[in-house]
Amino acid sequence: MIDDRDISTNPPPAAVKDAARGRVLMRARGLRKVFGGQVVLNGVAFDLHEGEVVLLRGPNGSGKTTLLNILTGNLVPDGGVIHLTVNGTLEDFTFPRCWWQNLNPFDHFLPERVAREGIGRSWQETRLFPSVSLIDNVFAAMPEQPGENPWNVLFRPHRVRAAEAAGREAAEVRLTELGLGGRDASSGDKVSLGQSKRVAIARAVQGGARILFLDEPLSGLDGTGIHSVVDLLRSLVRKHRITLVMIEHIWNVRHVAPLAHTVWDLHDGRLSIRRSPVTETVALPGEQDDLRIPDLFPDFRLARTIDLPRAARLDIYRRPGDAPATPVLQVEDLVVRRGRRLVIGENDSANGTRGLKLSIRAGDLAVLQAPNGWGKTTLLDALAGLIPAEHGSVSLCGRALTALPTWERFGQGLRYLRADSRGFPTLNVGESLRLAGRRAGEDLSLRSALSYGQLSGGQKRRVQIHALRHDRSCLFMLDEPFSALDKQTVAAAAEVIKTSFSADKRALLVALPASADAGLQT
Amino acid sequence: MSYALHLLIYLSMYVVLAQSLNLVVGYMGRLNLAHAGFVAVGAYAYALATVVLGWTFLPGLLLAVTLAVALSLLLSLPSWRFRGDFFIMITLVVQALLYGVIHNWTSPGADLGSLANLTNGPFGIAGIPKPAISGIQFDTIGRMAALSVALAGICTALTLRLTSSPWGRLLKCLRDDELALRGLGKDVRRLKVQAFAFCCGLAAVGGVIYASYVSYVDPTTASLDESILLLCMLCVGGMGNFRGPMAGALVLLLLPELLRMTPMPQAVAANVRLMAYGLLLIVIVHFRPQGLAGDYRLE
Repeated sequence: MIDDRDISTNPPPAAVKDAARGRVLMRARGLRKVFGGQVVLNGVAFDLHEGEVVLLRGPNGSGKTTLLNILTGNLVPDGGVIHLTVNGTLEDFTFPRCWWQNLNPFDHFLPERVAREGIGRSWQETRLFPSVSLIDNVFAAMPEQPGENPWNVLFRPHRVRAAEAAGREAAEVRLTELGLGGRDASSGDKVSLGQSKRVAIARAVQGGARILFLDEPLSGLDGTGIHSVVDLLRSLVRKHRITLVMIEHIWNVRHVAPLAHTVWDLHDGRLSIRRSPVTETVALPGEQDDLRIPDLFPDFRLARTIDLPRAARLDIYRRPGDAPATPVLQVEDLVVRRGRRLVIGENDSANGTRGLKLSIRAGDLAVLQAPNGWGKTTLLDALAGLIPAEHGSVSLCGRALTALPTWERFGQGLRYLRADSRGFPTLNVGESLRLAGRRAGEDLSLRSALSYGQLSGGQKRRVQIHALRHDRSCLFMLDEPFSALDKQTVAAAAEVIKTSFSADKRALLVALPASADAGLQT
Repeated sequence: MSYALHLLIYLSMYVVLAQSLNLVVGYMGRLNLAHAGFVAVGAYAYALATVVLGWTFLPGLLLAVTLAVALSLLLSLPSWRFRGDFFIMITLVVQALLYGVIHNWTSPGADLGSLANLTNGPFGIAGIPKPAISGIQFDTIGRMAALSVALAGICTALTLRLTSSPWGRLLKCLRDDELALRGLGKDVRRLKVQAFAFCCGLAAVGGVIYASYVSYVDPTTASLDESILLLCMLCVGGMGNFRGPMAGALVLLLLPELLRMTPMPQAVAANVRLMAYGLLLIVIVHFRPQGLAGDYRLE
């Protein structure tokens, strides 16, 4: 291990060389983390300078999120040192801690402590406070509010009221900057993904973050959402000189790459750091290419495009030469509401609501592209029977599904991969696959004794894709199947999907964010 | 008339209890089954202060609230670490502990209020004097009702003020996502201690209203049934806002009174009342999971 006293007193040569970069805000040496016998991080070391923008990359399961969790205090490393600039001086946090260090409750490297020192983070799932309005989401993040002390609330109402007014104004300004001026009363669970991602980042900044760790800030976003989040990040870097460390997966790397000064490659538990002009660092051979659905399924051609309401569309790919086939999925006049909000279907002034109508035939590869907040997941959930439809009919291979509960729909041959990586965290990989009726030990290159909860996001996705049953299936519905996957895994997943889909009486419905900055146009 | 006043006193007591429980259950999202235990702590502290020490109303109230706030650490410290089902078990333990202490801290022959016989065990403490504040005697039922309504008014105003403040917003954020809140640099431990302190302190006020009106306390005040009744009020009325606990207290208090109006033998009525509770709870949970007037649904 590197002698940390030496480092904390003498700046390393790299920092001297680019002093223009700013002082060191955070420094780590020899970080180590082991999960169930598997070494995830092994001697990770870096210096993070003020104003630096870092792109953290690595294959699925390489420990990107683990590193982020450690640096934000959400996970305790097994060994190593973290130095953090606190009031201009570097403070040391050495791991593992001795028992007597644990007696002092004030010097732990805990999320709230770290956040107070100006380190914010965003989560992969945005984690806005769902029952609190957007403005309060941002407002709650502000540090040092007098109204958070009940004593002030009860006995110094003037002070609280003044601070409230000022804070509310600041939060409103922040939301208006994000183009969410009119939405400030909506609660956190009622805005689209793109909006909630921006609010989550703004919330962290409002909380006084000088360093922001972003876990896949662009995942699941449509084209507009990506642009707005990238714009926000750019203004944070340029205007506010905020230090960023971003994890982004391959689909979206090229959007954030122009911002980055530094690339951290995490491989086999070690970090290799490259500070060179952006174009060189980012273009790893082969990684810049877009992944396109037609590339993944080369023998398919676009057969027709169905325009759906509100800027969504359904592209149908078929193999040329396939005979016209029988319909697999037929949806007539489907109307779905979430609470009072109409999600699927249109308001028609003449005759009330008009439902969604679509049909997919055997052998079709149907790609549903819709903007965030359109209701892709709602539609698929309604087709799977997880949420009730107001009216309309759904039939699968000629059998009516409308009145059937979810499990019987699955019995009729419906297969559904949800967008979240939810699974059974205490089952191991083998058990998860067997539960889904698949043989364990199929080629997943994962130890089947690992429990599902220990897997990384990409690995969970792979297990889920493998767990889709093929026999007696007729329609696969995949909600953002390739999110959180690296390139190799995408190819492997596409292969699994292709083999399951090769028999003739099946169809595939894939939902993706719209406008396909992920390169999904033909 | 005096029957209506009697109901009014009970209503104001239950409003205080439901509102205080709502702070922790509705706003902070932690199920709490120990509320009746803290009501009894308040009631017993007040009873001992007035009967044994001869204190007047206000010092007795102050003692009751202070003691309950101190004992609230029994709940708030475990809440630092435990959540979900395990935390509910902790509250159950605290409930059993408080009940057990009150029920058993007695020995035959020893004086009431001595260390050997603090609570007089199952026999309870009788003869609690009617309250008096600076010479005004609250000895008629009308005056007692005025006092309890005034106390309830102060307590609900306090909860309303707290829950509409930034502090209340923090509680809601804590209920929604504790980790995200910590990630914003908020001290959730202090927040939990504060919330339980208010919850238990206000429960003690409810206990003082009860003890001073009925002039008698016994361990049934601390029973688990009472805790469940209070939680039912939140489930039926709704939680996470101001209206919900009000509605719950009103419905669950008036329901048995309505049953009393029907010509039914007393023995049957008691059972019918329990069945009505159960039925009401099932119907509400099924058709209106957020309660009659609530904002938040306990998952």
